Amino acid sequence: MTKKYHSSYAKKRTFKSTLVEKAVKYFFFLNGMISVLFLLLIFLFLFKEAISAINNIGITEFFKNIEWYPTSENSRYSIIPLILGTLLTAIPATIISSLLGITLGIYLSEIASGKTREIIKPFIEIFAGLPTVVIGFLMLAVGSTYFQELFNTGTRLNALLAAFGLSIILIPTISSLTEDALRAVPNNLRMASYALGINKFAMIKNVVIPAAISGVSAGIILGFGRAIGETMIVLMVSGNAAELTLNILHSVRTITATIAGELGEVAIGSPHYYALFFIGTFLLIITFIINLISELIIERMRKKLNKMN
Amino acid sequence: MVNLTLRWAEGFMEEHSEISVQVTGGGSGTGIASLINGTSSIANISRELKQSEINYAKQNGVNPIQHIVALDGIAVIVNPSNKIDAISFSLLKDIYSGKVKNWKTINGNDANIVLYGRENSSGTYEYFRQSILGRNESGRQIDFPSNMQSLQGTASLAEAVSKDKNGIGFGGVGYFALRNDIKVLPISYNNSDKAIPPVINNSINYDAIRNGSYPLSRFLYSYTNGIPKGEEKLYIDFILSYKGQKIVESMEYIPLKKN
Repeated sequence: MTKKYHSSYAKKRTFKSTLVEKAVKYFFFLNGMISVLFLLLIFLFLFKEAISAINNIGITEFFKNIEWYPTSENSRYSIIPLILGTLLTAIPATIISSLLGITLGIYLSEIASGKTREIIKPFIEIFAGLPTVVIGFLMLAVGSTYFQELFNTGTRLNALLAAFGLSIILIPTISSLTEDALRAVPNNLRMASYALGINKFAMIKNVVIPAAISGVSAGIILGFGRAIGETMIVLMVSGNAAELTLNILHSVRTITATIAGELGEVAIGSPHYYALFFIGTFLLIITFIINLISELIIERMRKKLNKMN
Repeated sequence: MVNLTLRWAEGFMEEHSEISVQVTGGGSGTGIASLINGTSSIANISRELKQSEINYAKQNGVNPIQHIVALDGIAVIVNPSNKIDAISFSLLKDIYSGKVKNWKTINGNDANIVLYGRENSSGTYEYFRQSILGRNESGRQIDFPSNMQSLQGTASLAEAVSKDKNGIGFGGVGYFALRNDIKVLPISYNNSDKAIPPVINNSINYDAIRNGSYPLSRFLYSYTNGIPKGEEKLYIDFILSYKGQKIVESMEYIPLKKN
């Protein structure tokens, strides 16, 4: 039956429609290629400027010192306080949002009824689409005073506040990746466990989560990558002091906020200008590696689960 | 400075409807970059060009010419609840170099001082470092302490200090004059001098800033590529005219001459 349909369809194809089909195909191919090309060009440009930084300043300057004073006469370009600042916001944010996001993901995939899920999911999607500047503004205007009273912090704007802000955008990422990972677990595993007589929670804990653990961890890693790369929230609420500190209640300066805050007024062609490109390239490489790792983990899990099916 | 530039452009186009002026903001660096790569004819910036920038411009065949167009008073602010009512240069230096860390040391409350400043590439940061911190005995430039928070604009700095009872900040006086939720401190050059307020009853103390008895002020500049001719000359002339300087005053900056 289908064969017959195909042959009659083939007869109707005219030269023109073939041409259109080809054109459409190449158009899509071109679009794909353009994005690859842009990515390559971005890499190329950043690396070019970063190499200028290495020639101008020297790579050791970025790591041997502990201070970021790019506009001082006696300039110091250490990326160390910026890395610490980035980690001090990104790690707590990832922890907070993993706790909440994974729970939410488990709930949506295993526990919630179809109807509840239909109500909750759009809300999570709205959360994911919230402009980060709105979150930053809310944290700045409302959150800062509230958290200062709650935690009795010396500085109003600090790493913890930024971490709370960041976790708002990480929760949707982590929860939806957790849900995807759990859903990818074949249903026969669940059925088999029920057949063995265990209850739902034991099944989730002992069967589903272990099977999906690599997907869940990929979600956490991806969330961490997003936290490192986020700019607006940290720029607005982290306090922006490039202090060498491990205290989460102090103001910190992240790599992203440094670039966003300083690039606007930097003297073009100065070592400071190139230094900003260097730390940008550094950030790009780190997030690239993080994304690659989580992609690899997801891919491995998919293969494993396919085998089970 | 972008708001001032916008108002200048509006005022100029009212007089010369045949000429259209487009204004873009983004900071001094953006202005210089666009002057150098030819996308703009005039760059208004709040600091003098650095030697490195002049060299870079010359390499690209651009000859930046400086025009002084207005004056800006730099004020120091604290939270209204702060007990301090005036401050001297040497106290400011002690606070902003991180030597004095508690308000108690200078007869305030027993609380840590929270320092607010601007981005390290901004003109205000540079000006304040030069005029307040200066150099130590061996001639090395003194830096702000690393725990100073940098804010992206003077308006957000005012907002932060208004909410932080232990905060202190600095910036263009125009951003502070009309606010009642912050306290603008009178400043004295020497401890023995009388401290001069940059703002009296929500209006800027123009005379004191212009004649230098208020010790913290700086010029604002326009840069053109070469000696301005034609439309550019008309524009610079307009800025320096009575009308242009009236706009300066209305935007809470300080006109070069008494109008």
